[in-house]
Amino acid sequence: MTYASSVQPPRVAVWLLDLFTPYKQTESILGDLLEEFSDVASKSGVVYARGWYWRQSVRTILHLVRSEFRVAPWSIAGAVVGGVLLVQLGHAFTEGGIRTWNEFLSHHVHRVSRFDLFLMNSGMYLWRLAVSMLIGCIIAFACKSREMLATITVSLVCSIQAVTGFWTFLHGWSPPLHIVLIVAPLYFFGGLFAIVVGGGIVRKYRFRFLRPARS
Amino acid sequence: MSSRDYLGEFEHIVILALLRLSDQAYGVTVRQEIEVRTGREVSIGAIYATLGRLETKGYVNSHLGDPTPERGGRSKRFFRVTTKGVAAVNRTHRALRSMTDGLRLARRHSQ
Repeated sequence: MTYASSVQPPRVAVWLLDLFTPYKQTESILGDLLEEFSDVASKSGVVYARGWYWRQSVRTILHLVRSEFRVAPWSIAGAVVGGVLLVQLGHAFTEGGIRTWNEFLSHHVHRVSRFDLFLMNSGMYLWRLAVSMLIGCIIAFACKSREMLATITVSLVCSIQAVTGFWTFLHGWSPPLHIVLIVAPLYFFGGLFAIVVGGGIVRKYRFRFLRPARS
Repeated sequence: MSSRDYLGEFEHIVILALLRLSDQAYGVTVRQEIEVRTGREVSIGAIYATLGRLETKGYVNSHLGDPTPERGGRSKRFFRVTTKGVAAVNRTHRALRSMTDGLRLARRHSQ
């Protein structure tokens, strides 16, 4: 094994490419980039080669994303509209359910257990995260090979509402620092990441079953 | 004949690269061929997005080769131009030729 072939490309870039490339092309794109990376590393050094790999990865992802939007604009738009509605519904039901549970506990249960206390304090955040991840999985499942594109777009659209909500929440009073830095961001923005994570999970599992056949 | 029967500029370049490379046409060689001949730096994503589109139109087909260790055990995807693809190239060339016939591009450019 030569020095150049023992040097590996940036892992994060490989991971991102793995997430964003169409199933049929993932193996060949990663192989092509690795082949050229080894060549560039032996000619120009590892640092330059890593920079080259990052540039290629970013340009490749942007190109493939643009191409997907051009090829199937309506199916992506449909998935995004459906996904945003699902997020709204999911969050409304979750919050409604948790509030009802909390009211039930405070009115009917005199000795609240530790688990109930935990649910009362953190339940809303955890359920919101879990429901968001589940919604991310549903959107990704419906979108076939465009899991990441669809979930990221849904997440970006929902982020407008999250930023507005975050701003409204903080505006007009001075909450403690831990609420500004941890609790509120987790509540408003955690769900957005969870949607994308859900998309990534479906993508990974689906990829295992859809490896291209050698023909 | 609809406008879809003609190749786009980059599609045209990619198909010509495939024809030049013949049996050795895969992502790396196609990218390098285009860079060397046109001086245009292209990403591997641009090549694959275009090849994917051409494959959907039936202008090229592809098959996977054997996995190789220098590619981390990954296979090369080889591409070949179909008869329909060659016809599309010829049609596009004819259209370009008939549009440029009689134009003195070099002289106009230098004026």
